[in-house]
Amino acid sequence: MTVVHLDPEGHAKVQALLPWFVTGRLDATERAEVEAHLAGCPRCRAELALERQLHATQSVPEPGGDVDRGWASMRRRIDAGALAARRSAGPGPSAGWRWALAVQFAMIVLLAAALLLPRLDGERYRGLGAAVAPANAVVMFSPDATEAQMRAALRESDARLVGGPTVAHAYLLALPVADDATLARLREQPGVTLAEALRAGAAP
Amino acid sequence: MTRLPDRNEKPAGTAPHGLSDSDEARLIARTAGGELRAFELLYRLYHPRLTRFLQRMTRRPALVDELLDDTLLVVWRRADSFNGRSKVSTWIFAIAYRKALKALQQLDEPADDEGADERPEPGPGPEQRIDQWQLRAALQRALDQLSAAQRAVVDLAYYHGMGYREIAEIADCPVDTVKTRMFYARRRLKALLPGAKEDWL
Repeated sequence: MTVVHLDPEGHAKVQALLPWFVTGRLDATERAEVEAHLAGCPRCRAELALERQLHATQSVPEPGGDVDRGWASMRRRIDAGALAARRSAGPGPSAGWRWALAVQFAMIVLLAAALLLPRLDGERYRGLGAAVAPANAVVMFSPDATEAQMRAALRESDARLVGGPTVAHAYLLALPVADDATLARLREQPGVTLAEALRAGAAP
Repeated sequence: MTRLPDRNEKPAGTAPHGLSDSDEARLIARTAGGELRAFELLYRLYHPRLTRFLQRMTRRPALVDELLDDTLLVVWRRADSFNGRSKVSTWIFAIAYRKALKALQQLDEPADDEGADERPEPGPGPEQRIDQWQLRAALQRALDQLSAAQRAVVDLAYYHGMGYREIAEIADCPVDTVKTRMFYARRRLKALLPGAKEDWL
């Protein structure tokens, strides 16, 4: 039988693999080699014990960052990038931004579809029945918008909330008139990130 | 009797947050198609992991948010360049690693300093009895003395549970370089542990 623990190269090779032996990230062959060596090598078993201690000290979770704040910041960067592309593109958008515009268009179509589909059979969800006007606009709020801001935005535009939030955090509104002026006023409200009519020139 | 590691600590092909590698690849494909919801999920999955990694690697909290944002913005904008030859985690961590190295180099910090092991040992010697609080502080100082590349290997291996081949892909270096960086890092850190002996080499 080969006395592997007398081979200095054997020690070095095994010790180099110990961190991944401890974390279970060696393949079967390497694991078998390490196990065979450890079985006959007290010195490397002592190293393994230290390795486990070290792993324990370094694998402790730490408080992470604020993911909601981070995502809000990311959304602003994405939106700003798309807006800059739209402004600079003019009649011939650069190839690098065409996809972004296409993505935005696709998202609007998907959002509209997601919002419109429930309307087809939406009455069974509307417990208030005739008291609820049909939706003619959609609004989205920033993730950090407060409830007071949301209520104020609806009040200022004389809107009634008739649905939402959707998975994209969109809300369906019934505006007295979903014209450009009303939507522009809604967009100016604190916390509002998006306000669009469901149909061009929509009216109740 | 030697205790062997649990062999099912992390099933192959499963990321630490529970999604399979193929699930993650699908999320990347959907992100490449402009699906913001898919990207948001990726963002939320990777935010804590990258925060931890960048904190550990750079030791500069002021840099972390910006590096994390820059990394994930690349994921959003360049998801179509993910070719599927590596795992999604490897691809994303490699972006973060490169951005962190570049930022540190711009600050004139030796990011890839293989001579870091020549610096004097920090903290109390192994012969001194130190409690857990002292040990943590001493390890922290020892980590600070390592190069960013060495700290990255330590964190990717111990905390993120990555194999040395995956770490080599992330750092774009030979696997022997990963093992060497880990060797020097461990030598410095283990010297602080209770029961540590003189280096056997």
